[in-house]
Amino acid sequence: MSSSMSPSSAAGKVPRRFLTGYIRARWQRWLDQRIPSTRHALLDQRRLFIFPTGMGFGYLLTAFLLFIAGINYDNSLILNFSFFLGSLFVVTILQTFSNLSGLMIDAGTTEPAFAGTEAKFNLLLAKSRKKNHYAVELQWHGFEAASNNLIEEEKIPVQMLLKTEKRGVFRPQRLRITSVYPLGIVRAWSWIALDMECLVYPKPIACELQAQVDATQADGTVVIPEGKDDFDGLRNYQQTDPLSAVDWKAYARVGQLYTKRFHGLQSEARWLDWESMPTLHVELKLSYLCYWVMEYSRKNLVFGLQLPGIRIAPDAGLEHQRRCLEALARY
Amino acid sequence: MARDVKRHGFPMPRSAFVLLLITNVLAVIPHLERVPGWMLPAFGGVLLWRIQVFRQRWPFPGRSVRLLLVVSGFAGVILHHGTVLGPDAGVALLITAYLFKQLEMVTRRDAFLVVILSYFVLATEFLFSRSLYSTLYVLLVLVVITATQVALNHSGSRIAVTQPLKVSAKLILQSIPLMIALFFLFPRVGPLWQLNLTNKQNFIGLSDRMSPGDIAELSRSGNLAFRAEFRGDVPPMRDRYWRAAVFDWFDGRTWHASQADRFDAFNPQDLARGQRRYDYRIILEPTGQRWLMAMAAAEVHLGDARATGLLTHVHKKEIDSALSYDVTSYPDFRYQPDGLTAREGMIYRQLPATGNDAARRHGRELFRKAGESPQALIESILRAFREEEFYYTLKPPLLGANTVDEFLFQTRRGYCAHYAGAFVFLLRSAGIPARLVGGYHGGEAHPIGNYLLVHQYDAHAWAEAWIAGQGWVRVDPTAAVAPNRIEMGSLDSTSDDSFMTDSPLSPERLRNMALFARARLLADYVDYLWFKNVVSYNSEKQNQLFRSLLGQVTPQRIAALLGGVAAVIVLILVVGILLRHPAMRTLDRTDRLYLQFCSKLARRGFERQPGEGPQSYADRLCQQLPAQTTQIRRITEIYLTLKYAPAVQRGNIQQQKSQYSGTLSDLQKDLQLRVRSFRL
Amino acid sequence: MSQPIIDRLVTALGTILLGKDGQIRLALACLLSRGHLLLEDLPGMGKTTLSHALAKVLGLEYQRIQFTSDLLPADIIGTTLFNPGQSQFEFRKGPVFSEVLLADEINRATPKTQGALLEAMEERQVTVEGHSYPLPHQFFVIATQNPVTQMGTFPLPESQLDRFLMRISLGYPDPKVERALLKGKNPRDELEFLQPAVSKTELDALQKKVSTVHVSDALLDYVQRILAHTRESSQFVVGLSPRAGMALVKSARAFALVSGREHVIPEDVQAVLGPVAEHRLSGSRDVTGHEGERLVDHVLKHVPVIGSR
Repeated sequence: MSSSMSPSSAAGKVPRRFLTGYIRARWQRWLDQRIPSTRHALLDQRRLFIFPTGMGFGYLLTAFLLFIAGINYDNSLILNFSFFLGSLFVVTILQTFSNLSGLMIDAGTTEPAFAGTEAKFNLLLAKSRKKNHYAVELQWHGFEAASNNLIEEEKIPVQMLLKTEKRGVFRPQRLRITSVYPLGIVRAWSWIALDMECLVYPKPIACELQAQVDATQADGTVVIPEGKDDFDGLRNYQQTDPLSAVDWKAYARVGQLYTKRFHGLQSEARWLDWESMPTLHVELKLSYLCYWVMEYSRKNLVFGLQLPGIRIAPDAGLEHQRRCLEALARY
Repeated sequence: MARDVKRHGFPMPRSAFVLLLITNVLAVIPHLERVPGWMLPAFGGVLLWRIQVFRQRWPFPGRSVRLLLVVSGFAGVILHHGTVLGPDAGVALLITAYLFKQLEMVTRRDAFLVVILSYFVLATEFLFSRSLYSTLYVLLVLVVITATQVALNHSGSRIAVTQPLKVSAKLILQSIPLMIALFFLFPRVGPLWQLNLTNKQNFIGLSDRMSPGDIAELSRSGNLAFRAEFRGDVPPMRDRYWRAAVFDWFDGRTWHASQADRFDAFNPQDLARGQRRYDYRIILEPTGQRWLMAMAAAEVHLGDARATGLLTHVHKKEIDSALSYDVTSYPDFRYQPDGLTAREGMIYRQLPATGNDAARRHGRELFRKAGESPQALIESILRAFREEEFYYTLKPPLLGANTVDEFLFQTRRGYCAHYAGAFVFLLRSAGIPARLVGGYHGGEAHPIGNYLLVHQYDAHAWAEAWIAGQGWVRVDPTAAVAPNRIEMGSLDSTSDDSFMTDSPLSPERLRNMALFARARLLADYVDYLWFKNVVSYNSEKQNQLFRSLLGQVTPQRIAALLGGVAAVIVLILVVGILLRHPAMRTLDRTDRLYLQFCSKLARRGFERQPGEGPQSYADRLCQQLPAQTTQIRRITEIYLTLKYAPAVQRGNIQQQKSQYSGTLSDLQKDLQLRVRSFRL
Repeated sequence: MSQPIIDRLVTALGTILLGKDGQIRLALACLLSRGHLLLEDLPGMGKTTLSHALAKVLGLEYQRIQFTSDLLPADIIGTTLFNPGQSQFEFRKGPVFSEVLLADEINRATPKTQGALLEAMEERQVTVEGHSYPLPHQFFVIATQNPVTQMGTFPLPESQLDRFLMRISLGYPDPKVERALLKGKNPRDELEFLQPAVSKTELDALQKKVSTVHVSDALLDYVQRILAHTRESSQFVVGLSPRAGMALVKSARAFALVSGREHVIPEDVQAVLGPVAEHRLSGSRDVTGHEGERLVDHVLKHVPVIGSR
């Protein structure tokens, strides 16, 4: 007897923090087994939990008090009133359950964000059965809730804005889907792990920067010899030259067709270089780089990005910007 | 934002607010007659304030204002009722709290609390009335309360009021079967502790004193006093004297109920029963008194009842809620024919020391004229009432100090209490033991059920005189003045319109309208059945039910019965609520047939991937199942034609190979046939 | 009635491009729905052969331009020449004014030159110095392209890829065919002897016929499911545009016709989905620009063929 006692008393000495941590870990593991991570979830009895709310306990207390009153006053109608409340509670359990069951959640697209701003997570709520879902509350663990009805529509897109903190790949924890409809006395919910993530770019921080012009890079330099910005000189007219480029004044003078030559301003590519950032702090470097990527893109300049181990050839445009930001985010 | 919530409450959906207002009004309405008069304007004011808060015109009242309102409200209730105990005061306090909680309904939780309070306010209605119609009203209000809760939890702010009402009605309908099962099968236990109710309710009915005006008051009330359900014949009108109390002490103005019942137990040897008997059950509405109505001489079969030497019966405690008991009555009886005790002789000859001298003299003189014979005296008094200028009216003139004198010699207008009172006074003046008996007379035979309805307007007073050798003899002086009152019942006896003036809309006033009368009686019958089968359902009846259902009653069997019934109901609910909704995919018949075909194949391991087209699937199958190639190809072909080919082409496929005319449904039939007969 | 012609075309092309029946049908479907075709593969896989064969078999007059980095827009659309003798300018039409323009290695030219061609493709006319010159009634561009991972190229921007109805890769030949090639059979030799398999009027009729191929509601439901999937699933950065959807239905119609059917079945959509959609899609994890294939596979696997909308 005493030998069986000792392990439990030893367990009692385990620090409480450890114990709750252990319980939480067990709970997580159990949850992961029961509701694994998916991109598509159908809420059914396997995934749904149900429990009275605080108000539900108040309601049950009311029913109990009326029950006692019914007994003590020997009043069968008051007694019946408490039975009614009890029955309504049972029906409400089923109705609340039914309100969530059959609801489908699809992971949709995500939109990247800069650290400290809100990332967009698009979800799709859909009916799998011919019934309405009311007051469905969606809440990512640690974020604010959003409430939705799915009444006539078969599916509705839901956009959730989650505030990001750290650069990198942001993977929110489980999504809680809750409903207390119709009476608010019973809560049905499910924790689903949606396979969703989004990129969080570094927070752009402005800094002084001398753009490194590096024209020696043979295969990366973008030279635009036929640009239109700057007059370069004249050459003999060729048949395919556009007429607007012909130097008509020269033709009038000498009777010979010359074509004016121009070259573009952006004949040299800018390089955003890891090494040239005026700090040693890694995250700050990334933030500076991010700022300049945004700045150059805004001005539609051609630039390349040089990170340790990663090199993105000079280019311009949104796609290029996205590629650079992604490289910064994933660094 | 937070400040705004504090000023105007959380953003409650409009429909929820409207429903909450309706709930408030409906829950309080039945209590209005019981609560202090100032509550009605207070109620209106609070609702107005709350509406203005909702419209964001006014803010919530400040903390001190609220405190002031609540304190003055409670103080008002306590002053009005003089106590905080008892149902009336309790309900008034509850309603006060309910009222002022409105002005504090800031958060969703507060709104929920108001809903909970509504449940309580509504349930207390059953303390006062347990009729079927009250129950139906409560059910109606429950629909509204539940709808309020639905609306509060609905996330759309713009929903019609009707939508939550529909949801709520559905919820309530679904919960009723389980409620009924619990009502009849949930084991009833006795009170957990003794409630000491100091009941100060204003019951309408007889009281323990009878002064001029009391019965007139009653006859203006159409309320039901009790029902009497007979097992055999219903007694004739002359036997329907429902004895409640005996009044034996006269103070010159008011007759007081006998205290004798406190001391004198019923002695069976005093009573000689006759042959005739009536067996019946009385279902008594609450009276607030202890008297049990019955026709003399009665045996009341009720454990808590006690027979008294006055041939009345008293209940152990005040009757605060409806009560039913079985009675056997022997109308041809003799009681105390052998003589009275000396004490009784004193009591029943008691008169006040002074006053009403003319009447005293008159009584003695009449007795002398009658040759000292009690029978002759009684005859002469009745003859005087019948032949002289006496009138029966429910609106007699006011009487002064010597009530009997004034009535007998001046006004000569009155009703049963006047006549019976004067009669007893005259007899006592002559030294003959006599007493006043209060109760009811008559009752309306119900055409459907074999029972009588006795209303408050049937309240009556008559006299009893003791005659040596005969014992106590019932004399009804009113019969001499207004024979109709006795022969036909109270309604036909007065010609003036004093009868039931209090309730102008009372159904009684319209009873001459045949249809209405029928409806009224039917309604009463339903209510009667309700009371008999539901309201009076108690542990005793439950035991009977258990015995008839289970044979041997053991806790295990009761649990099994309750559990079984509840489980069946819940199972039906589960099926009805959870499994009822069809899947969303709106597949047409063709698709369903094709999917049947696919699932036949899938069972054999040839599953079609969701993204796999029918043609590619068929190609794959034909390689793996060469024997079924023709069938598979044909089914696929028909399916593809039905789904993807234009209507013209459907004809073509038919002309080639079969006898069908090529309409859509014929092709479908073909497909169905082929899918059904498809075997691997 | 259209079937013999199509069979003829397929057979004729099959003699040149061995063992590439699927690609041949796709290419035919593309041209029958009057769309421009982009052939993308590594050098030496038979792109040029297929493009030439297509033009010849359809009996269309064709011109070929080898795109290089020094190719100028005027080299394609034509030039305005100054005629010193008459002292006035005259427009000399470039190679674009042909029924079939074979644009070899389109990604070698500068974006400017590419732009000029793609503009002509879109508008089916050429505007030079304020004058508009309409292109021929039958006008196809069959462009070939090396995959973008090759050095020294200017990949076509997404917006311009959209101008091509289909993008087809040929892929390596299967061993049997390769063996024949290795034995010395040169498809280009046979190209010389290839005769038109279809007359101009027949071609016209075929193209008109494409638009009469029946598309049922059930099929449109499927197409819409596909479109919705690309827009709702997080696999995709950008979903398919309505224009892509239209292209998908049009190509599926033509493919059904080429397959000898007068109504479209889901397999037709599935067959053309890759060529039509791959170059218009980009995935969320698309860094290389070559995710289209994977995405189309995803669609084919996940979008149910049978079901509600």
